[in-house]
Amino acid sequence: MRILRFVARRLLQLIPVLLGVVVLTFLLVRVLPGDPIRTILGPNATAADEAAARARFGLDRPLWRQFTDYLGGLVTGDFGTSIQSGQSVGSEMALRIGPTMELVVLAVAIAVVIATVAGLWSARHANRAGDHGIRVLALIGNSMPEFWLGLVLILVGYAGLGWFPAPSGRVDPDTDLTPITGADALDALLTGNMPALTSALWHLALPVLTLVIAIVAPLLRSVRASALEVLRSEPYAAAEAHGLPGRLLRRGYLVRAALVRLPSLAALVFGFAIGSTVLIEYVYSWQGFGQWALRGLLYRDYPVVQASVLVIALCYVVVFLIADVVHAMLDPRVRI
Amino acid sequence: MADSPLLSRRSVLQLGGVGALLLATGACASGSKNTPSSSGSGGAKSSTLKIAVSSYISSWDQDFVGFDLTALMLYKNVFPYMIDYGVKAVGGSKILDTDNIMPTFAESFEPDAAKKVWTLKLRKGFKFPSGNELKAADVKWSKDRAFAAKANVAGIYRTIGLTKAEQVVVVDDYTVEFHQEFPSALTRQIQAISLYVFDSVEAKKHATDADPWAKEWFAKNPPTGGYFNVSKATQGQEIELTANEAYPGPDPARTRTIRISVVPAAANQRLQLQAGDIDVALGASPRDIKDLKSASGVTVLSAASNSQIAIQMSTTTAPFDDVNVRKALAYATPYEQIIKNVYGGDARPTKSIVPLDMPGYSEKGYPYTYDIDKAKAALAASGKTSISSELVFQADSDEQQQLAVLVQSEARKAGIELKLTPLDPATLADRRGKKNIPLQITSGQLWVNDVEYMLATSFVQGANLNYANYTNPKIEQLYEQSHTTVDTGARNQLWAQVQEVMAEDVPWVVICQPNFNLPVRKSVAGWVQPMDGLARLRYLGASA
Amino acid sequence: MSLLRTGRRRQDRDGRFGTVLVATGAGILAVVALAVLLGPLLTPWGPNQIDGDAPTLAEPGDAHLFGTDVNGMDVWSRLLYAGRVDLGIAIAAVAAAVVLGSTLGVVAGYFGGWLDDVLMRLTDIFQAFPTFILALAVAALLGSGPLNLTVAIALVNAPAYARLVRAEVRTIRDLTYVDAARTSGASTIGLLWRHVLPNSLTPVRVIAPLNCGWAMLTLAGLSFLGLGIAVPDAEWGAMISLGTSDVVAGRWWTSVPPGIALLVCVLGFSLLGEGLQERADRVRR
Repeated sequence: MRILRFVARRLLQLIPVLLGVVVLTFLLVRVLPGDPIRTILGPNATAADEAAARARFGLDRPLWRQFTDYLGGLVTGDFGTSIQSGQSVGSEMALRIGPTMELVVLAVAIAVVIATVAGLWSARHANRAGDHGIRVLALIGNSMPEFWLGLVLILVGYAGLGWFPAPSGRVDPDTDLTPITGADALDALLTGNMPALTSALWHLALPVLTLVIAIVAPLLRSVRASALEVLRSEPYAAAEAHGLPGRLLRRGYLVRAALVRLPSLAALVFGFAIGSTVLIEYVYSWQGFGQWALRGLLYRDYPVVQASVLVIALCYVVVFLIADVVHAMLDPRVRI
Repeated sequence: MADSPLLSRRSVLQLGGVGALLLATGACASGSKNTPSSSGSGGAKSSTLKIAVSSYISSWDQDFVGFDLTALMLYKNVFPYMIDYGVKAVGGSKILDTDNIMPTFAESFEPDAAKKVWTLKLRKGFKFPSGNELKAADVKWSKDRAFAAKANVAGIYRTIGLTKAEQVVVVDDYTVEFHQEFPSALTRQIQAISLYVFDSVEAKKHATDADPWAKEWFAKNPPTGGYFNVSKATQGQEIELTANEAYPGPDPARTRTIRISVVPAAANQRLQLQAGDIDVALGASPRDIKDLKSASGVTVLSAASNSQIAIQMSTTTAPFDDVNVRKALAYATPYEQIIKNVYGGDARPTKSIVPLDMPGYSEKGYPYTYDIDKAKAALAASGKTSISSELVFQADSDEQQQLAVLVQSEARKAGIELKLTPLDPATLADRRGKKNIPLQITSGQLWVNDVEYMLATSFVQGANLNYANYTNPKIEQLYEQSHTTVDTGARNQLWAQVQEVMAEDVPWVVICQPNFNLPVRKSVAGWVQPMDGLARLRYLGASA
Repeated sequence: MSLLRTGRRRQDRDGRFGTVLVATGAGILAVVALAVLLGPLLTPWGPNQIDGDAPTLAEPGDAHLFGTDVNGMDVWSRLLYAGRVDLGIAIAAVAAAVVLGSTLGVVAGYFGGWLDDVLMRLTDIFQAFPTFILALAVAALLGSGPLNLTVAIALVNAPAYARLVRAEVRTIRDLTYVDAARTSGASTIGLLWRHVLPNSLTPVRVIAPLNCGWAMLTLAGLSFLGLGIAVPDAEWGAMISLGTSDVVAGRWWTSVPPGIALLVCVLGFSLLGEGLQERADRVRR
């Protein structure tokens, strides 16, 4: 019950933040230099043609009116119409979210697992060569630009060794996958399409690896530091001195305590990853959310930019909320 | 002129067609060379062909929004176009013959004696995949829609005297007349671009009071009934085309299935081409092409092109309002170095503002070659010793970036300091619309291979592509005169005068004409060089 | 009390490795900084100078240590000059973010109340805003000069510092020494400046180096998207990006050296940050 009240209060706090994001985005795209309309008209378009197109997208109305129209649409779940494609932004976005979510969720999950295992190991072997090695390696991965790493992995894994499929598309079209969510691996699972699942996972391998390498370091650091704190705490020393069996010691004392800080950090990493997959998407021809938002921004496709920023912001705050709740459940000291 | 970002590397930006895509009709590939004879593979339909492009189409709706090169290319293949160019062989390679425009889906398209009323006769019995027969009402509805959209086609129809829907008249079920306000030599060319037809019976089912032209439906649903039908389209990622068995005209599709995948990174396309995962790389960069020429399993199809690279100088903005400053830049541009470094030698130098291969091309009186001393002298003649300006180019174009760097480096030696300003598509379009760019790189090809047309689009007052804001009473007068001059010799004399004036006024620094290059797998056969830059996929086959 | 003693020994070992990390990181950065500052002495070529005699994409050799790029410019000298841009922008941006963020953080934390609420909601908004889009938008708005990129990256990073400093300030402001200063009649500004700010910056010192590395990666990413430093000025990310076509063709020298330079430099910052963090942890424990 307390948890529910906490969640409700936090959800309420989100409203002004999201409203702020909406206002800021709305104004920001409009003060950017550049014209959203001219790029969709031919060079022979006259001023009248241009005005007609502008009116079609409601861009001839006063700013406050455009804003209330937009806000009114949002309330009913209407994100507007893309200026570039003429399609509803909502339906375009639905297609783009799946691929990016699939990439980011998998990568963050794998990174968390790796960070947990390696971090605990590292803490238990603190200050030995292995510990130092793992940490420096993670830092190196964290220091590489993702697009560069991606290119190297393509050169080695695809062009060189030929182990991975061509960095184009997300699943072999011959597997006839029926799209449901847009996340191909998930769709393949849902429809029980095994060849498609294999193909989708295979396509995911390199982009996910790239993202994992880029984000594992901070997670690892956090797990290791928390674990060290536990290992060196007096209760742990006492338990150890009392001769508790190793498994119990690790499970009961170490793991839970060491993972307390992980959720909020994982949320931070997730939020960061979702807003910055655009480079990885580009390198791997992964037609996800980042590519879509970027194109929208470059063409000043106002509704697209507004929608993508809002959704990323929403993801970010919701993930943080979840992290806080998980943290509260893991750590009894946290009062909510 | 048109900007053709099709072959740009950094389509991370996925910058589709920004500027003018004025399809080329003109030109000739008389200089065509080293294209492999790729006519094998008989008539049998080969199975699947994979093509990589740099960006997804902006929209399926050609009337209201679609204006990028990928989309225009696809339209050519999936819309029933009533008439299209024929094919001719030049020097061992096949090119679209812009002088020979023939009926494809239509039965005929001919004018009356005054060349003002053109009659389109349809073939009987051709059906859209929905089962509806293509009839005159479809043509009428489609052109009404184009006028209502006030965009692409409505704009170009003006050049042949078609300004309102009432000029398109249905005579009977299979006959439509186009009543032009004046006769025009350009009708066939313009109609080849514009005469695409929707399945209006189907479309009307999706029209509403608020959306009478079914925009919403066509934004999502590909047109039907062309040489190919779209069998699958995954937004942003992949399009699958299947040959339309019902096509009634000559040259049906040779390949059953064509898969078009979006691969934004040029380096990535290149790797996939080398590995054989794609058959045609439409987004390879000029730099990749240089290397791919020697790659195993890959052939680079090459042909002379009328695409022209130039720097337009604003003749109304300081410092380029001074003709001597313009001359200085024309002398300071390292033409040969650009051809060598940017195009790997694969471009033709030009010595006139009129493109090579355009009737009337003349180098007479064109003095500009790379000569820093003359550049300095020209600058001195303007009374200045040093000037500065920004040089605008497309942010997504590697080619333009390289070119800008070379020009900047040499211009500095002559005392011209250039600040390089790459612009994203929206900003570029905006500033071009406002005509406030002092110096910009343009690249592209003209629609119609004719100087009158070139003047109309680029050099007379108020012309849409006249980013240089150039005006000269003499040119206006020659342009007027050309309307009524029909004799070729007389026209060429006018053009010689035009070129003399332009050589003196230098509104543009014309840099070169790069050749068209397309890297494909060796097994790909039947490529026809499109003179408008939009591939007709029906000719393509895989011999494997 | 053997328990405690082993504890201390362990901590010393932590500290020692922390010091090693700090020393390595600082060492790397010092070498890079030196190379970058002495750039003109290490190469006869200007960064934007086109060698008309050498072919473009010339292989590494005597005339050009790392060959030339596609424009015929010397890769080695561009590498050195690019370092100035990258390091300069990263450090300036983080410094600006620290100043801006800390100011907001101190104000919000010390005064509390509605001011705190408003400022924190504002930082929430900026933090929820996708980083890349914000940076891109600011760069597009202001133009792509080095100064504007600095502003863009600073704006993106400032909210994190605001939160960090605010949290510290809220603990510090109620401590006795602040009370003492307050009751002895120190002005608010003086109080904040002399007593609150210095002590609330402890965590900032650890985060800032890490942040510098991250800022360099952001800058490189912007350049890769074509929205970073405009040609012909050299920047590592732009160099890598320009060289991707070359590396696919087996010409490594145009993009591998800037790639390594960027990696080494960011790693230097990461090691420094990690080491500082480790030492900070030790003190706290």
